[in-house]
Amino acid sequence: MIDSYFIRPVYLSAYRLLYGLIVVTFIGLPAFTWLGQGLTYFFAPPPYSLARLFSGFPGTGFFQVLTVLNLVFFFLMILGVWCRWTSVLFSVTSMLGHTFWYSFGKIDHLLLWIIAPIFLSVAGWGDYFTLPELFRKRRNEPVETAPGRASLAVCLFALTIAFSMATAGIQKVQGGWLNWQSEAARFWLVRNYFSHDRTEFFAGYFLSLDQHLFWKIMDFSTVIMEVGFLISTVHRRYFNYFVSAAVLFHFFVLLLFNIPFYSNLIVYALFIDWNALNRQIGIDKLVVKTHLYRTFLSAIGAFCGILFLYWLYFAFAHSNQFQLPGLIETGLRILGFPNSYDLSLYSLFFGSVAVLGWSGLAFLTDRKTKGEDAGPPYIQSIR
Amino acid sequence: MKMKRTATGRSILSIYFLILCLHFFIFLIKKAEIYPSLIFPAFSAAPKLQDLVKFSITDLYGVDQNKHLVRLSKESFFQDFYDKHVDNILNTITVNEARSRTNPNIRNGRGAFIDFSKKQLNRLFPHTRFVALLIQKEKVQYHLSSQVLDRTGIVESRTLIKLY
Repeated sequence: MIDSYFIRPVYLSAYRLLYGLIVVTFIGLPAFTWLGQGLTYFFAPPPYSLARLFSGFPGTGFFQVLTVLNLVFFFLMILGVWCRWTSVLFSVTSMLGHTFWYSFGKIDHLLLWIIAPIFLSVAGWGDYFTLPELFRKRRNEPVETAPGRASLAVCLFALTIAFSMATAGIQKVQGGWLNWQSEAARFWLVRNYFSHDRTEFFAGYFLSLDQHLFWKIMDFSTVIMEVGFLISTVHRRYFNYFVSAAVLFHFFVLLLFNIPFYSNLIVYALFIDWNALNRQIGIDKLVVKTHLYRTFLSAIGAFCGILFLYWLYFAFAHSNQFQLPGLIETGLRILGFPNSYDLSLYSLFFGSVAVLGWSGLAFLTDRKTKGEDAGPPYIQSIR
Repeated sequence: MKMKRTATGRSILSIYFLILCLHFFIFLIKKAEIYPSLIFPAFSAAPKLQDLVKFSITDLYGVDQNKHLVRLSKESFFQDFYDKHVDNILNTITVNEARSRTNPNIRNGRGAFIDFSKKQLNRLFPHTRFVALLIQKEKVQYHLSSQVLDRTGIVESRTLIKLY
């Protein structure tokens, strides 16, 4: 079971860059500078959280320092500088900030992308593509993390993802989603539509869809997908099937309920078929060609430096903003689009489904030409 | 060597899984939110739908000098807040308004909230003088067959916040 989750450290390191690319392109980093003592009247932290130790929000200075630290740790992590420590510190500062962010009576459940660096730093995602390699006179081959540790850390993280999905499924079973008379998905669609004005995409169309069988299929398939996720962790191959299904599931949740649950999409990318990607873009070749490798690292370093300065400026110049804007959001703002943050998130969902479709086609073509079982689409187990 | 490694790995995996289960068990027993938490939102309610879908909507109103109610855009009023949490902020205000008489900590923060409200109302309606805010939670029902939203007029809760 555990060994099936092995991902080579060079691929994990490539995922670290992909993780950073997704965050800076589609999401942006959270800013905590909008929080402060002036909001204490609204202070309502969850019953079990660190914020409960406080009687109100700390001062603005605390949140300014936290935002800067979070930003610094993020870029050091992406650049692979003291990667194991900076990955953990990025996760800790993000969670600490969100502890207060979610102290207005509601928490969002976008935790997986925040805790992913803790698991993956142990797995060896800081072994390659690191900035310190640029400053060594002779390039030494990085010491790779032991395969046992790498596969265990990825396996624990897969279990974490599956467990989270299963908790939602188990609660749905308790709530009666499997009851033939109820139409749970439809109930939540109506409620979201009118209570929260979630009226975009296909919400209006499905609101008028009066087909009991359809809604029951929705209810049952949701529960099976969420609970089955946990069982699928027994082997990476089965887990991959569920990750593929989950990409579609989150996409449909966006189309029907207008809930962009982006956190999971970021971590699902860890389970793409790295061998296939390596064949396409040559990750291995990049590592062995010293000059190209150094140029690549220099470009990443320069890009991160510019973005760090931009976000640092933004965090203080626009202290009422919740998010340091990603590249797509910045572009949309310049073009004058309203709701640029939402549009940026939506593009991540459409992009993920496009990748899923492309991988499915690649899988079919691959099997046809090679005449072998190439494994599940999009996401692939170790061959 | 590999067998020993696998046994250790399995032990770590089992202990980790038990911790996750314990965490979920506490959540189910206490029925209270935890942060950070790996428990995902359930949307667990699954009522039997017999043409009617019943739920509540919370609205925010400004009350002017003539006691006329003006419905406010919640997102615009709380523009400096995270807009996905606006309904929860209104719930918190409702709870705090009731508790502010007895809890000095909440009473101390109330002044800043009143100033914030006046500022927002001035920004949204510069030519109208509002004397109070009203948070009203109303029962509504949606008819599946006719696709009509029916505002029942049944008020679940009403919180009046005097600004002057």
